[in-house]
Amino acid sequence: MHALSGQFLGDIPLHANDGLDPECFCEHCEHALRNHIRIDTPEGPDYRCPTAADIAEIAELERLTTLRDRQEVAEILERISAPTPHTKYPASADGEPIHGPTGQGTAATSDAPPKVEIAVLPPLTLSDWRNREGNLILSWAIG
Amino acid sequence: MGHWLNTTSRGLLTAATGIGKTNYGIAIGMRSAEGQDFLHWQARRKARVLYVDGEMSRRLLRQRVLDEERRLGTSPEAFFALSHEDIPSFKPLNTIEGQAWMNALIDKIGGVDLVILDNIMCLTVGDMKDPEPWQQTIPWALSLTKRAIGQLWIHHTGHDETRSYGDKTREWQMDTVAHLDAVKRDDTDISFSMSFKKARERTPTTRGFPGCKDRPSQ
Repeated sequence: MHALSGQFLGDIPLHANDGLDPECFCEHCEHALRNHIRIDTPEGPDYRCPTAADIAEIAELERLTTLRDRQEVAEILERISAPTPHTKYPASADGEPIHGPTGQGTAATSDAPPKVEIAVLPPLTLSDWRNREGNLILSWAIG
Repeated sequence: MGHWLNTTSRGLLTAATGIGKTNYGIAIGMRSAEGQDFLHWQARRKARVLYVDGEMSRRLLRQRVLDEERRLGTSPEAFFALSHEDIPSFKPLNTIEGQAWMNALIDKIGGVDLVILDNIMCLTVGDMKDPEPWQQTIPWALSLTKRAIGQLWIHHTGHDETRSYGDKTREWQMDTVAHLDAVKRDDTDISFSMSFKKARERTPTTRGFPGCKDRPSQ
């Protein structure tokens, strides 16, 4: 192990930024400075040259990161190219419509509500309430 | 009605069970429809009022509506009372179907100036402690305001009878939050004091003063 802490190119303290310039290479091991292993000490951060195992692990992590980024970008591009039509409610996993909290209706959204036609009004006026008797017939439908 | 209930205001009325929320709602609704003063609030004009009950049987609603009509002494033509029992598979007002149906009803009766919704727990579904049911209701409530339809939402209290039950966020969209506290009196069946916990319409010129006959506090 050897310490790299202190000043380096451009008088920038090494610990000031963990994302070291990828173009800077260690004069001892010739690996990129940013691939050195940071060690926190009471005096501040210190760095050691990476071992062969460290280099292999770093390479594997970079490969996985690249792979994940590509996959996420691909998924996002797929979603953008085929958005859900705003006029269509997505079905749930079992193909049933999405219902409200207790299954008594579709949870309200900012979308325009469906058009409803009320064919026969229920009793509403005081006269209706005074005169009402029995059950009434009410028909309404979501158009 | 006074300075707190108009065609763009959203009000929340809370009280514990049995205090008289429904009677209060029907009374202020019918007096608004008749253009008659209520308590110490001055009515400005006759309004078209829709009262929506989501809790009582239609037998009890009929009784209360007709009792209030007798107390009022007239029959305001523009007062409409809807019982949830009269609507097959009544849809909650935090669903698009429920909101669409209520919009259609308002249109069908020629529009209204004020809608009284009795009460939040019965007219919406979901956990009242969760903000979601009310979040689903807000767009509709705001759309009513845009159409100049005032709203009075009636709500229960919980174990803590000094505040509305459940999620507090519903008070954020209200212009007025009023609370009823029981007052024990032997000579009345229903007696309560009313306090305004939030009064967005209140200004130095409209505020009342405790004990002042001409301008009593709200």
